[in-house]
Amino acid sequence: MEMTEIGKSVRRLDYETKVTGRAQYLADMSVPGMCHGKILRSPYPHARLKHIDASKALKVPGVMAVLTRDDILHDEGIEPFYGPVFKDQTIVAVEKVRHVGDPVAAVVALTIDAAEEAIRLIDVEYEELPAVLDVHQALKPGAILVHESIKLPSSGFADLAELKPVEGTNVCTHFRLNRGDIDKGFAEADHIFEDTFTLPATQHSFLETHACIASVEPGGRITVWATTQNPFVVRTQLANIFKVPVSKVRVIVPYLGGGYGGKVYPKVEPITVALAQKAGRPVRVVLSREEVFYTITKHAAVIRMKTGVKNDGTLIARECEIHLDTGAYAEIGPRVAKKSGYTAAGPYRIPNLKIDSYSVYTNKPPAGAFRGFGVSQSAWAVESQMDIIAAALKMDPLELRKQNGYDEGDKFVTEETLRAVGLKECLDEVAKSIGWETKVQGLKGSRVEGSGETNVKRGKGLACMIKATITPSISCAVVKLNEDASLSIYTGTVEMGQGSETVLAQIAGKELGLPLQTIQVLGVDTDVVPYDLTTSSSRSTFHMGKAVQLAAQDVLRQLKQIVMKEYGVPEDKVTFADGKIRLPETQLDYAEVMFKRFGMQGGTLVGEGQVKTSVKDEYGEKSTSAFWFVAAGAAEVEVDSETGQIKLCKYATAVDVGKALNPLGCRQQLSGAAITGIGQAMFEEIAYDNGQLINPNLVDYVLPSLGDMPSVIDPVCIEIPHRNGPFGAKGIGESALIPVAPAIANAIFDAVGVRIKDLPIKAEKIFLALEEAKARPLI
Amino acid sequence: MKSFENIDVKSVKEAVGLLQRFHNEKKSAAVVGGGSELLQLMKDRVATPDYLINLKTIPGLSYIKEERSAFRIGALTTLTEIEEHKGVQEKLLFLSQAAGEAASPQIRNAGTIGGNICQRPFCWYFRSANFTCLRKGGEICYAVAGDNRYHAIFGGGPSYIVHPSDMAPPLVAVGAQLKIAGPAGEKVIPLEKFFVLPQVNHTRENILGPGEIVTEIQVPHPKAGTKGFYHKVRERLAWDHAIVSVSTVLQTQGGAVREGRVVLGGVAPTPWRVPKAEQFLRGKKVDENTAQKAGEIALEGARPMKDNIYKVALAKSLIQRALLASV
Ligand SMILES: Cc1cc2nc3c(=O)[nH]c(=O)nc-3n(C[C@H](O)[C@H](O)[C@H](O)COP(=O)(O)OP(=O)(O)OC[C@H]3O[C@@H](n4cnc5c(N)ncnc54)[C@H](O)[C@@H]3O)c2cc1C
Ligand code: SF4
Repeated sequence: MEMTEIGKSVRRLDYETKVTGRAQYLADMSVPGMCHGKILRSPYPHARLKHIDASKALKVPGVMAVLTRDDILHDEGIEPFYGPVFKDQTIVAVEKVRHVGDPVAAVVALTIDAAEEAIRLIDVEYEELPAVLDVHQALKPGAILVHESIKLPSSGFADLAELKPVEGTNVCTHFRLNRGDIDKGFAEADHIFEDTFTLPATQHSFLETHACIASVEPGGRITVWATTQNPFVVRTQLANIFKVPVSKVRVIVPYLGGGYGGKVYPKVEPITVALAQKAGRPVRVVLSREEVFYTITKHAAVIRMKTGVKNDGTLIARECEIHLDTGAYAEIGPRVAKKSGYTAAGPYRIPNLKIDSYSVYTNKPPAGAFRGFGVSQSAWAVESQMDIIAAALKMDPLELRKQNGYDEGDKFVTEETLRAVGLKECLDEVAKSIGWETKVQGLKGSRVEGSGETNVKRGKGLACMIKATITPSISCAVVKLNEDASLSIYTGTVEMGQGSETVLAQIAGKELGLPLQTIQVLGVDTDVVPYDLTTSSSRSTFHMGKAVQLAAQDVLRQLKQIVMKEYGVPEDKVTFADGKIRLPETQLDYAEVMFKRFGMQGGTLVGEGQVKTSVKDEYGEKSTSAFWFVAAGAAEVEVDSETGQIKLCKYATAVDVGKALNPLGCRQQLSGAAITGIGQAMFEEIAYDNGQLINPNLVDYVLPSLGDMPSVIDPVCIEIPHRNGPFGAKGIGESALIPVAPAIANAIFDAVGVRIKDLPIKAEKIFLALEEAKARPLI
Repeated sequence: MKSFENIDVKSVKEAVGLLQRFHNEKKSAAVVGGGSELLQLMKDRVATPDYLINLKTIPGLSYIKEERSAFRIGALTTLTEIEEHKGVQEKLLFLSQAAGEAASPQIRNAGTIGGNICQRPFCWYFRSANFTCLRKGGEICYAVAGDNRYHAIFGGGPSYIVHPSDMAPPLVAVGAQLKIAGPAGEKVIPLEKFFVLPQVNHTRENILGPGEIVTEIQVPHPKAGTKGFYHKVRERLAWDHAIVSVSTVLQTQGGAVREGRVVLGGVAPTPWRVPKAEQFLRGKKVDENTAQKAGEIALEGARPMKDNIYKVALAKSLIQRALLASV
């Protein structure tokens, strides 16, 4: 068996179970006595619930129970209000429904068919209310209120403590960032640019829809199998809702079929537990694709950005107003507002800033976290405007970025020092990859075969970004060295396709000198694994990886103690190499030492590791983010100047990964993020008609297909080691997605000279912009 | 899905008989071929038949027969079979291409040509259980004031669907005939006459009456000197309907067009022939100029809605390209 290496590509450990279809996902599972739950959802964007009558539904054969607001309002054992930041959500609607698809009631039955039939028989009388359907409407003075009042923030996230809803308005939170002197900044500027950029609500489009199995024992002990990225947050929330200590809530997470931020915080778990409790039977709820569209979306945004620039291209001032459409419930909207506010200056030194970022309630399905949240909104504006500036100043967009971009040791807008930021390295790599130096405008190509087209223009564009990871946060890990020197790893990190199992095993294997084949990473069960805040924010390799590394070192320490004691060797004579313990005369393997310690083949050595980050790092420096992500992307496109049809020829993406522990896994993450980004940039958009979703399915909601992908995606890992990461590694999952949309928009501008400021960039928009440009008199 | 009873029929006659019986008894019944389209409508409760009449169990309804002057294609023939048929590829490459560009490989493996031309619209209001629109017996067409980016620029009103079939436009272009079995026996009609505009009937897309089913498509071999072309533009390259498609079949002699058809897809509630453009082309040599002019003539009279003006320009450009590629 080969020793585990760091920095060498390995095939992911879950490869075989997944490709052979053996991996168990929640919807495949059942437990004895299990019934099925279905949810009745609001047909209106905003309505008062006047009357609910479930009597007909209860008569359907096989129906065990119907859950309505009466059950959650009049049960001493239930706290009806919950939410990760504000307590503005309820298990089922209480007074009002606030978006199409808002849960109104739910049914448990012996069969799915009976449950489906029964929900159709629940009589609900609604009084329709006028609805606020976008951020403009929501922010008008005197606008209809989505929430008349909002329950106090639930205790929880230290980084959000200062964010509060604005009483009497639809403002869910208002984040402000002021730096320098904004008026003076603009006064010193030679040029001022002002643009508005927009992007629509979109879907995470994970393959596996949200699902949950819940079982409640008579004593109140709750077990849930959940499709969640943060089992411990779900545990806390369920404990609060059902008023039990966290030890009485057990959350088990099977393999997760993708998350991308759409499976953080409670989703379908509270309603499933309430159903199980009421029916006295385990219940499984599996959402349909349409229901996922009602459950969580990505924030749509309107971003007004005004930037002052000196003649030489120096960015001197920026005023920015970001309106994020949070939908009907706050969810994690406040943090989205904060993150987009922090990154509205992009990865650039801008001395004078006035940033106002709002998350705004509307009568639309809730928006939450989406791979790189906040930043994928702000960067669309920041990076598009950079090219607008470059074009006006006749500067090279790459040079403009490098001139203003952060260097090692620069101060971020939060006044903290940036470390390990390979921004310029990333930019140079992607520029090189698409042949930036040969960038020529209007290179003619041909699209439709045999027709001798000359309308096709080529263009190149690039973009970059900086983002934070959630801080403060906690990851704890336990490793067990077994009697045969094999290792078991216990963590709360959820394997959702990102390859965390593999990288955690690599870290432990490297530290202990064990082959990967002898290491098992256990699935997540909050009864068994120690606390972890969340598998999101690209934090697991950095935080949990470090915790596992510390836990492995803890085992080494214990082995050393045993050797010193049992073999009488002084501490400085005991060394470790390749899974062996080297002594002056001889070498021992772990199993021998274990045998010596326990006197027979048996026993366990338990190692523990804890990582906690805070707003001051371990060197005493301010640290609103435990590390900073930087990334760049570059696109090469062909645009038909007659019809606007776009072909993405090549996309290059570079991310500073700190250290690529598993280079193959890194490249796959970067490519995957780029692919998601391409969908967001050119295809995806939730379409609404008066608050109704008109494309809540994967036929009408257009995800790109393989054929739409560029023939080359070039993922490049830049390695600038971070002093706090395991072997220098940082997180990578989200960063590669963010530059995609602006890089493509910039390439399109380069090709045909039109600037699209509204995502997604479809042929139609380019065509209309080209027509408009033709109609405009030349000045 | 509403529960239903499935009936495996053994003959066209039995199918027709059952359909008629259920019609008389005021029970709802639907015929099913591959089921690739109908099943989704049932899952979404847009279609709620009490009975499904399964045509798949009828022997001998799936075939491609190459005869002297025409191909005869059985209604149960799958799109994949059409795409891959050597004779079709040789004589009617554009038809094979159209089949290959419909939907996705899985749907083409299950989906039949009969089902393809009888499929219901993909208007997103029609497909959503939350909108009871005109076509579903409701009062209004939601596309008029709503989001109509994918709707009709020709032939609309009072419903504005576009016909979703990729097969219908090239089949109309090549002058295919349709064999229909019904209570009164069999009849053969030009495919072009099969589709109906909403102004005639806004709740259905074709003329099939109670008890009638499609049994065969007859595709004439093109005359000497004929070339066809199919081009489809869509938002994504697989599993997507046309924003606009164009099918051209031109017969040229001595460099000039003798006769030809130009049929658009994705623009109207039926496959949309553009007779004025066809007339214009007659006797002309197809070059950049005539192709462009033909495109312009073809789009005269288009009535775009608020969100689909793009289709006009796209259709013009596609016609031009298709014509240049057809000679
Ligand atoms: C996601 C998706 C994308 C698609 N994209 C495209 C596309 O891009 N281009 C395209 O052309 N098509 C597209 N389709 C439609 C696809 O081609 C059809 O689903 C398929 O051809 C229908 O064949 P079927 O045999 O499965 O029909 P079924 O689902 O069995 O039937 C469809 C309809 O036709 C009726 N019917 C079936 N056979 C007969 C018959 N012999 N006589 C009378 N009525 C009959 C049925 O009652 C039903 O109403 C798409 C479908 C889906 C689901
Ligand atoms: S276009 Fe036709 S199917 Fe669509 S909403 Fe209007 S009436 Fe209904």
